[in-house]
Amino acid sequence: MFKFIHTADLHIDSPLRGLEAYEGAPVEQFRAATRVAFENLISLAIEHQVAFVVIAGDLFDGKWQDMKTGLWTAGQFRRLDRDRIPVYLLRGNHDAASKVRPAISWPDNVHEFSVRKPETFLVEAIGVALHGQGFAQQECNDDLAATYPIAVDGLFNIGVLHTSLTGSPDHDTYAPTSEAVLRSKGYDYWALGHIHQRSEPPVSSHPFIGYSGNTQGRHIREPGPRGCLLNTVVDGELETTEFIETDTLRWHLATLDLAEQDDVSDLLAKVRQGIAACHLSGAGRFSAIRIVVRGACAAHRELVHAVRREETLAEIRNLANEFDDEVWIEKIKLETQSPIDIDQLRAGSDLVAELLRAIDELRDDETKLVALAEELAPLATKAAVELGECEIDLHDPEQLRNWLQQAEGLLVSQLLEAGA
Amino acid sequence: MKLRELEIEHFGIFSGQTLEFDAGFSLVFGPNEAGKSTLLQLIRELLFGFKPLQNPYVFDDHAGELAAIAEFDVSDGTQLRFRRRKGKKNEVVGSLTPSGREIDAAGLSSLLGGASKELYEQVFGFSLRELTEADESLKRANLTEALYGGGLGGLANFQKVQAELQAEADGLFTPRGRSKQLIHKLLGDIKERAKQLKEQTVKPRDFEQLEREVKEAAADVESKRDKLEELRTRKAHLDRLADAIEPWLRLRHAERELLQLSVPTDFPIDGGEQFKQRHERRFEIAAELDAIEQELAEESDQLATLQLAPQLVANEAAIRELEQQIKQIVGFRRDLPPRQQDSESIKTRVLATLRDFSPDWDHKQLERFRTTLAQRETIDRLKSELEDIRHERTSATAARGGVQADIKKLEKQLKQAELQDAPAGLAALLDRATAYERNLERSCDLRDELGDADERIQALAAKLNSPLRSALEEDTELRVPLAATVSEFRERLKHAKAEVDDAERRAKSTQHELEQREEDLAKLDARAAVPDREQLLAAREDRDAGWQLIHGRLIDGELANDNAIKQWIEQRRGASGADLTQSLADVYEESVAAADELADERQDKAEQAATCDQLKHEVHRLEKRLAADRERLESQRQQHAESIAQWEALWSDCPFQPLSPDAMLDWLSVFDELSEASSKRKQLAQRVETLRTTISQFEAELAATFPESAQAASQHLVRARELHDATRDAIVRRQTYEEQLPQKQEDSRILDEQLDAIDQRHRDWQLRWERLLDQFEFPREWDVHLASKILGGLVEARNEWDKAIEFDKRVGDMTSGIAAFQSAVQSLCEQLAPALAAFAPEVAMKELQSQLDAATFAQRDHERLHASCSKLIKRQAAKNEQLQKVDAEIKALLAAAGSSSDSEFEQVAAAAKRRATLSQVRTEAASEINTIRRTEDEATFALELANADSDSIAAERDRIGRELAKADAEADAAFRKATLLDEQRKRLDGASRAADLALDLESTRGQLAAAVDRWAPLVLAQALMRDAVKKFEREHQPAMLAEVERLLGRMTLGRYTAIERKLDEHGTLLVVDDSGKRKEPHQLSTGTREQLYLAIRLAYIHHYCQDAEPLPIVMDDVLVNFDAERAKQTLRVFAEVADHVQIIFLTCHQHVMELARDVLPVSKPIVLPGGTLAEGTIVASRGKKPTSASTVTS
Repeated sequence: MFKFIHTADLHIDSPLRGLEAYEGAPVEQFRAATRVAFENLISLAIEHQVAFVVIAGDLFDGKWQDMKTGLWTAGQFRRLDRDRIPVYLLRGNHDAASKVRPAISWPDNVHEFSVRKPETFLVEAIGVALHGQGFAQQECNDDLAATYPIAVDGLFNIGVLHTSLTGSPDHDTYAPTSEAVLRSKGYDYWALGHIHQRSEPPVSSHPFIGYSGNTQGRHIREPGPRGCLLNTVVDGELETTEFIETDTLRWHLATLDLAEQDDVSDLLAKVRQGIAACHLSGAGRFSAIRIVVRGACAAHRELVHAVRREETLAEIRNLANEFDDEVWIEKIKLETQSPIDIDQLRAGSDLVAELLRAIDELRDDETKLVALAEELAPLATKAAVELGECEIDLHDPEQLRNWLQQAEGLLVSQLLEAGA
Repeated sequence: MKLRELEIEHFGIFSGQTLEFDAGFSLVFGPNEAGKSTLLQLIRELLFGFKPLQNPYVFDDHAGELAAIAEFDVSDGTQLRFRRRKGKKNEVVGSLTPSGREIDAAGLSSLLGGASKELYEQVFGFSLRELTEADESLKRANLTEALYGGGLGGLANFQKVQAELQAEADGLFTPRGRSKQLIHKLLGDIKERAKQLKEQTVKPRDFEQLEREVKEAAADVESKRDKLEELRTRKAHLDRLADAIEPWLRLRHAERELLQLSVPTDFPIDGGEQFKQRHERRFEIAAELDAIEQELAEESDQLATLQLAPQLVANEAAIRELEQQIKQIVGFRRDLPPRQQDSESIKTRVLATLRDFSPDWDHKQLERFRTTLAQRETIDRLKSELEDIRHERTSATAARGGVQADIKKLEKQLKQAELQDAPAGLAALLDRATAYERNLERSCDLRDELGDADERIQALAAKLNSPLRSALEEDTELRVPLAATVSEFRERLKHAKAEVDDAERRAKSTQHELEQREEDLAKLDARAAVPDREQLLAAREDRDAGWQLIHGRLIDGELANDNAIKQWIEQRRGASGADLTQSLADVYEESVAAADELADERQDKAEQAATCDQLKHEVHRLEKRLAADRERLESQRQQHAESIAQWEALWSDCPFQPLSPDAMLDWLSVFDELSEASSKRKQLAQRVETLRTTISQFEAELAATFPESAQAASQHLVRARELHDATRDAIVRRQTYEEQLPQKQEDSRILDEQLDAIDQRHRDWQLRWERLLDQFEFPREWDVHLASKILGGLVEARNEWDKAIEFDKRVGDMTSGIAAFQSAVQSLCEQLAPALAAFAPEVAMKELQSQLDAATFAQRDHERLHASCSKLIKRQAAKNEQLQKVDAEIKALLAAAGSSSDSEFEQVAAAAKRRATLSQVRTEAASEINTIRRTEDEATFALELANADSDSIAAERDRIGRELAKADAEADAAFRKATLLDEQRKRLDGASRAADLALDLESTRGQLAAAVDRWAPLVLAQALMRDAVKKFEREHQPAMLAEVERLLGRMTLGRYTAIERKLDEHGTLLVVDDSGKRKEPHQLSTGTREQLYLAIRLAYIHHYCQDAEPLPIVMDDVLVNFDAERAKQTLRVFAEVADHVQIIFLTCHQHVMELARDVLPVSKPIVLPGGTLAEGTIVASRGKKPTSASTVTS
């Protein structure tokens, strides 16, 4: 019997994204989140005395250049070396791009798969064969798995692959392949990397084909538990696969729907409940929560005023302080609407109706919508690079539709209520 | 849609009213607080829903929910009737006639077309407040806002919203912005942070460079250290050479001297000492030998002088034994005679004793008793038994006597203790005595309580006295009313009093108000006498009458009415002129002028006139109200009096006049207390009586028990108790005696038996005694004491006899001992010293003994001297031997040194000693050099030492010392550099500052995204608004503009004819007057601006209703600032509008009503509760089923 860990996409030291800083935000707690997750993983391996650790790519972030990251990582591998636990490391697309990786000399327990051709490592003492080929370049349109050798008879065969799996070879640049190709190799276990969301259930149970997901969520699009797979092999058969959480900070999306009569105090009460529910589900981890408040409600009337809006945002952030620096409000999106029946207004024959009908028309006409984006041109000119870095596309129809929706809410409230 | 009927279930002050409205123009009159604003709000909420939470129109006194039923004429000709209630379900229930289609909230909403609550509130239903606000906003509005803002809740709102959106957007970003704006600031922050991140990032290239430097530095340190080591080694070698030079010289010197010394090789180092020691030893031995030889000669002389007696010594044992017997023999010769005498005297005494007992008894008899003496114990035992028997008999006899005496005494006491009988039934009576005593105590307590109750009743009765005409008799049963009834009267009277007070207050207040108004009117009259309306009417009537006369005379040619003409003229001038026609014309002209003058004056003083009219109206109203208030006051007073009468009637059964209800409530509570106390007293008295009966009965029975005595009950009770106790004691005693007597009789019987047994035992003892006397052959008559005494004497005699025999034996032994001694001494003297045979044995023995002692001493000295001589001879031989040996050793030493004389020998010995010293020096020096040399090769080191020159070594050492210091510094520097680099390298293992900065950067990007997310909708909203307005303007402006111009022209009686847009950036609205002059709104008077606003609103409504279902317009007193003519004109415009759209016009002004009546003679004012009209109006009344319609008769 032996155990091994399958992990991937650690992106060590890459920053958590989208967290709005504000006074009192628990910044210190989250800076080292990816490191803590990796330390947790290493501790887990030592605690369970696993036979080896398989890393299916993207140990580092491609853009990341700080050597400290590499040295620190090597230090963690040395912890495993002291317990004689080998590491089988595969280069992912990010590792291929990484400038840090080539500059590090790994300790002796780290075995890196070749990037020129498939390579097999045999662990004869426990009867294991590991096959893998890393990314030589940031992009790889070839089906790498197809050239992997056939399983070694009488051993437990593990295929290690960084892949987007189902993508088509014409479009996908991350070693696309198919389940059929993987099955054809006769392996017992395919340790996949690249997709940050753990495959649950796995792509296949017999043989096991699956993604472990990343060890630490890095932005709001990676919510929920993150960790690695701890596998137990008995008599050459995979007996159990257990998901173990390694994240230290958990991302949550709290969407709160307000009812028509709900005012700002109701909003705050619901937000408090929402934060508490999210934080509780994290079992004591730090929580980064995005609050999205929706619904046609009385509170909207107050929120259209910039000052009141800022006050409300501050109060929501203040709510997070009730959780002793364990909660960071990632972002607050107040997407409330006026309780006024917009459909009815739109059916009228006055100027407001005219305005609403025009908005409705824009929503469905992408050409006009993009033309409207010209209004935003001054900002696009001024800060094209920065906006790109923030992943803000001022011409993205989806984005524009969202803003249009908000503009509609603003106008209805301001014209019909603010002056009332 | 036109509201025709409104049944208000509950809404604000309305509860259960029904109002009917005209399909066109309805006028609703109501003073302040009559509910005009409430009605306006009700119509708003009726159409668009009741405010769900905290609706201010829900009143506490409503018996049911907020609800109203409305009936509308819909523009398609159908009728809609529905009920709306406040709630979440089924809030609207209704139907359409004739189709019968059911209508719910959604159905109603769709019937209302596109109208929203907000639109309705802003456009259709408005009050003076909105008008005033509009007036203000018109001053700032541009044409577009003025025209279309009407639909947006305030004319300036459109502009305001634009400005707010712009301001907020600009606060975030402007193309030429600075860091004050959030997005600019964030962009700056992002650049700054990105730069910091770049700086803080340790790039792989830098890292590799660092690694290289670390390695080079390590190598440098290594080489520097090697060189340093080499120098140190050389310096250490030189130091050692320098140190070793001195011992090296010492070594060489010693070796050289050793070579020059000549000593036989086997000569010992200490040869000199040895030689000296041997000589000293030889001298000592020779001295000792001389002393031994002298001692030996002396002892040989002593031995020769000694004399010995060997025969005496051989018999020493026999002599010593006899000598020891001498003392004993002397004793025997002294003791022999007294012992013989003692024996004789004892024997004589014993024989005399025996003869005393029996004349024929001698010492032989004593032997016979030796055997029987063993039975003496038997005699002693029998003696003791006899004493026991005697003692037991004595005590048993004494006890028996005591018991007999007790029995006799008991029998006597029993006889005395005859029972005394107590009186019958005494015990039963005594059983009840305790209850009797308790009853006595209780009776006392109850009397006390009764006393307390009496006091309390008196106190309470005293409290009751206030309203009573005479003190209340104790048993009087008063029929007083219940407290609840009294409380009710208290409330009624309080209420009635409050009503009276209220009515008084109101009447006073009305009176006060009336006086004020009258005062105001007087002041107004005094200030500017305004011709009142009646005067004007009279003047006009006069004028018209004049015209009729002129018309008749000049046109119709009627001359018959000259008298009427004359009369008319005379009324004016006093007398008619000659030319009646001319006079008539003149006077008519005057009357026309007078009427015109009055009209002009009224016109000129229109404001005062209006105020005056209003004040008059107010005065009239207040007078009416005062009358009503007084009437009400009177009625309330009457009601109050009635209530008081009823109150007094309530107490008619009581013999007094009641006080106030409050006082009577207190009185009633005292009365209740008194009743309660009386009833309690009665109960107490009853219980006292019962107790008294019980006590008397007991006392009677007690007296009957002692008929002979006439004492008090208590004394009887004491006697009875004593009697009872005495009887009980006698019984107890008799029982005790009866129990003791059989016990004593039993004891007597046992004692008799014991005495019999004792007699028996005495008889047995007599038999055994006689048997014993027979055994001893003593006469039978001897009693125990005699026999015992004789037996004792016999034993004593025998002991004495035995003692005499013993004495005899001892005398024999002593005689034989003396004889044996004499014989032994005789034989010894014959053998050793016959001369002594002649002396007494004891004397001879003493002499022999002293001769023996002398012989023994001589023998001992001889033996000692002989041994000493032998020893001395042996020592002499040993010393001679030692002397020979020492001589041989001296010879050997001389031979070893190869010398023949002592002096030669000493020279050789000195040389040997020197050689030893030098060898020592040499060894030490060599060892020192070895220590200094340490691990260096010995031969090389020795060679270098042999060639060493201390000066050149010192010079080289100095040189190398300098080189060493330099190399040391260099190595240190290299090491420090390497350490720094290494630390730098190690620091890279720590936390990444770049990661921290990256997080900050991401966070700032997050903030930027949020800011853009806020900014973009603001910008888009502005653009959308701009476009929509342009489009709306394009499509609707000309028609609406024309309508506004038309309406404004009519309202201002043609004073303003056109509306234009000023060609400025703002597009300011301009109003053109009949002379073509343009004015901006702020240049217009308030009234004209309000007319402009009304015109715009009505034009907007007109425009709106072209496409949508018209909704009722509800206006609340919007004509206040209009002059009469314009008000009239505006009312005419309303009438025109009302052909298409229903108008419900609310007012609290009578003059507005009158204007309306002038303009719209068909309108039927609806008067809200609390309002009264001067004449001819029917008031909408309160109540569930009201008489619905109201009409104006004029």
